[in-house]
Amino acid sequence: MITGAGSGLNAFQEILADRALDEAQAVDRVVAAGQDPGPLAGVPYGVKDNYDVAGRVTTAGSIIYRDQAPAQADAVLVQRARRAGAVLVGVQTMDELAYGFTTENAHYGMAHNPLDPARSAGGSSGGSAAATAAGLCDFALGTDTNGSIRVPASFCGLFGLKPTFGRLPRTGTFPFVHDLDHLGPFARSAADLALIYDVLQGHDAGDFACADIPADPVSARLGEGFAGSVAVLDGWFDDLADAQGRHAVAAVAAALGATGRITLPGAARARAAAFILTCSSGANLHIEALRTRAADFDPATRDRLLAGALLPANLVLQAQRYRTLFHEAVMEAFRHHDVLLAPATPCAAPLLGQPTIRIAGEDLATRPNIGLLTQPLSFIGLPIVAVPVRNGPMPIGVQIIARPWREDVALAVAVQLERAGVVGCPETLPC
Amino acid sequence: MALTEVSAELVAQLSQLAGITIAPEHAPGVIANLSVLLRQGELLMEQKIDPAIEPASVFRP
Repeated sequence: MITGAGSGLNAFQEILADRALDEAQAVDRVVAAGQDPGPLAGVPYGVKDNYDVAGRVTTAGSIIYRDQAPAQADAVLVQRARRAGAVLVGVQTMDELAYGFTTENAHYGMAHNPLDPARSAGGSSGGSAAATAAGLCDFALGTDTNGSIRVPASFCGLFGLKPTFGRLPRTGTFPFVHDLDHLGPFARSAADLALIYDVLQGHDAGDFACADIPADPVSARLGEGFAGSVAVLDGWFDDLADAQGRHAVAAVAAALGATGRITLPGAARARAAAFILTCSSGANLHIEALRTRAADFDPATRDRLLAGALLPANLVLQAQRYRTLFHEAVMEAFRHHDVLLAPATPCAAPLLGQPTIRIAGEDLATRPNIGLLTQPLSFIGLPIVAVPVRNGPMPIGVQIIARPWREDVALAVAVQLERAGVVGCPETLPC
Repeated sequence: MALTEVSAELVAQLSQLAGITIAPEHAPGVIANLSVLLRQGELLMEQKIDPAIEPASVFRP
């Protein structure tokens, strides 16, 4: 299926057929021996091209680093998936260096949305989302710095989890913005998402930002349901949404008995701060390549990174201090509510190559503005589950936003909404 | 008001400070992106932040 009709989606950058067969046969041997093969035994999955896979060069959607040595070991999350019995089938396409929201990569091509191949699968984890939505794998691992799990989940009609910053170790992944990078899974059901999350949890000293806290498995507790307080985010998160997004949030809010609407003061500045941190951090990370081989970057990435290298330090430090300030303001909101709701994207999936999208009555450039509703929230590392709402020709995601370290709450809400039929993945497309 | 309009000359000087040579064909894109970034920066700098508010990143020795 991956190499047949599904190949037109360009979801996979490389298929790991030999490894997949080896891992599947290893699972078979464990089963034949009467031993426990793990909770994900035989489940096929893929990873974004910024996850280390042993023996393979991690290119992060770029050609600049393809001459580096192959990874000596799998990324820690890949190791954990393997121990759980999952079968890695391939590495998935992404925006270059994770700097994008549409997976339109000048070197490796575009990832197509399985629900409408003329449309974007989102980014930067577009290949991971497209493959999962199309049934080419049963889950995928992506990354989210400013929305790169939540945006593709929204566009492809999937469940996606961006955990609390520091929850899942990033050891063995190609970085983008050290202060904002998160790893997380895509799945076609909320229960699957929770199970995969449980498998992935646990501290790893190889990631400086990984919190040294015990794993907190949530799957067994999801049936307890959710009866906490919910509010819809107003202001920025409503002003920049379209009618479909607002209706999606309203449907989720009604199902959860949301009690009010609140405005997070300073969301626009939070987005500006995340924007500045991203550009400057990315530029610093790639400064040698920017100095010596700028022409080898994807043009969409290059000029932003070059500009980021020229920013005054004062703005970068202001952004870091604003992060603390905004965090305090949002924690105030969580004194009164357990869950906050917002659309994941300003619109459903645009056409590939579409230059502008309509936001709040203005035509804005598509690629930098798709993350307007995700950026302020990942900026302060909140755990968020993107849930798919089918209320139009294309689905749109709603962000279920919980307090730091309360992935259990966001996942319980997602499961409850799915059981009630309010959210759900579109039928898997036959490939 | 902070500078938000960016000239080619300014980009040339800034890039010299940063140790980067920007190819002429890349300059228009850099100018456009830097202009956007500086406008975002101006929005950010409008917020007065109490000196007691520290940067979010904490170094653990």
